[in-house]
Order: sequence, then C-alpha cells, then structure tokens
Amino acid sequence: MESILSTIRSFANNGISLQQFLILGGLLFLVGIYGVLTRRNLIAILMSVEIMLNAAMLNFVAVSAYTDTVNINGHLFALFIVAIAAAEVAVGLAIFINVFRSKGGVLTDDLMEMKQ
Amino acid sequence: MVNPVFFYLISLAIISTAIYAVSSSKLLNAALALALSFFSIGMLYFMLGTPFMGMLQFLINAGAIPIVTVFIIFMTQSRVLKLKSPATAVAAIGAMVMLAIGFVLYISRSGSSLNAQNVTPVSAAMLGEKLLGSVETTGKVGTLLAFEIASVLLLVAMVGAIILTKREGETIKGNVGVLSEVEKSVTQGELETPARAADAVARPAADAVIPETREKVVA
Repeated sequence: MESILSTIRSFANNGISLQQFLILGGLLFLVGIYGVLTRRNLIAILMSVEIMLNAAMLNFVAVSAYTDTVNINGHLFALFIVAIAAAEVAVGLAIFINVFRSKGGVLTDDLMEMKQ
Repeated sequence: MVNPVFFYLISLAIISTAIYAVSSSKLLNAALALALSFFSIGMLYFMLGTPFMGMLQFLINAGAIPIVTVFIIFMTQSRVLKLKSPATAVAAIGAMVMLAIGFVLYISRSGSSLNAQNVTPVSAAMLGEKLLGSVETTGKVGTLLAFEIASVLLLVAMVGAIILTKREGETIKGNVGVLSEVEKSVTQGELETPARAADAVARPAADAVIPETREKVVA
C-alpha cells in the first residue's frame, strides 16, 4: 500500500518532459494521416488536414516553451500556421460548395474525370 | 513544470476525440468532436505557459473553423457518409505504423534536451513585440513583413471565398453599403458602383426597373 502511494506521489511530483509532448504531437499527426488516407468525403479530408496542422502547432509551441531562455520563434510559427489554416479552410470550403453545385456531391468519387 | 495528471487526462481527451473525428460515419458528430479535440489542445497551451496561444486556439481552431465546417456540411447535405473499404484502412494503418516506428527511433536517439522539465512562459506582449517590431521601433529584427503578408493572405482568402461561392448574376441584398434598400446586382464577380441617395429616393421600387436601364442610371 505504502509503495503504491509513493509511486503515485513520485508520478505526480515529476513533471512532464518535452518527450511526452512530442509523442502526443506525433500520435495526433498519425491520426490525421489515417483520416486523410481513409476518408472519402472532401470535408472529412479537410478536417483530417486540420488535425495534422494542429499537431504541428503543438510540437512547435512545446519545443519553444521547453527552452531555458525565452524563445518565441516556435510561437510565431504557430501563429502563422493559425492564419494559414484559417485561409485554407475558407477557400477550401468555398471550392467544395462549387464542387457540390457542379457535380452534385462532395465525395472523391465525384471528381474522377481524369481516371476515365 | 507541467502537471502529469492533467497532461495525461487532456492527452486522452485529445487523442480519443481526434480518433472519433476521423472514423465516425456521421460527419456532423465528427466536426463537433474535432472542436472538442482542438479545445483540449488549447488547454495544453495554457499549461505550457502561453495563454495567448491558448485563447487563439479557443477562438479560431475550436470556435470558428468547426462552425464553418458545420455550415458547409449542411450546405452540401453530406451528413452521413460511407467509409472506405477495409483494404484502404489496412494500408493506412500500415503506413502509420511505419511512420510511428521512425518517430520513436528519432525520439530515442535524440539528445538529453528532450528530458527538460522547465517551461518558460511567454506573454502576449513579448509575442507582439517580436511580431510587429522592427529595427527602428524596438531595436530588434521582427517579423513585420511576414505578418503583413499573412494579413494580405487572409484578405485574399476572404474575398476569394466570397467570389467563389457567389453564383453568376446573383444580387446582394440587405445591409450592404450605405443604402440598405438599394439592390446592387453582381455581374462577372464585380460589384457595381454604389447607387446615390437621389436614385434611391427617385426609384423606391428597384425591382420594377429592368436591369439594363438601371445600369445606365447608376453609371
């Protein structure tokens, strides 16, 4: 009992290192890759790309925060990623509306003229 | 120092909602799970000592982007979708496993800087100085040019989204410009010049006028 309590106490007293954040970001990126590879709907693919962008943002901010001196280059990269993600979502979804109007659907199977 | 209990709880929330977002067949539920995942990532930014990035994450990634996505899901009527064949999923999982092995190898071979425990907080003022400062104002090199390019990119994306979603010959109705009651027709993606106040008084029923004469009057 005492050993379990001491294990829990040492777990709670030790902080999280940069390694755990990088592993979390990598896992999130892999989830996004899985979505891009398996989804058929264009909107779902765009959502998966958003997950990948957020994983990259998390890695940038974590690496920048875990330096001993003040380092804000990673935060700046994350800020620009936010701006580019917003622009990408706006233009991408506008394109999907046009695809829906001309093809009647937003599946990847609807955009297969080059294959036939 | 980041608290491990909260870190693991939040990580569980992030990963589980992200997996739901990429695997659910109901697209609306997937978009809301995506919002929850991004919200949890914002909590991690607060724990990393950057409340500005956390608020930005809450506002943009957890607020604006899922709302726009839900709008488009409704407009394209694709609420329930079929999933791909199992062969594709197996191939995707295989690719993910290969990437994960490479990533773990990279992490395990990197130096001891990965084991650092201390987090240096960054305030919004420092970010603003670096983002908007120049040699003339703050004495240090900032990223003002990149900031301006990003703002122009956002403006172009906004105008582009409006023009892309607009049908040919559609009119803008409502509180556009000074005179909300005047209809302005849109042709070839360009707005006409705003009508004058005298025209609005002289022609209260803009619908009755045929388009050719209206354009002459406005011009």
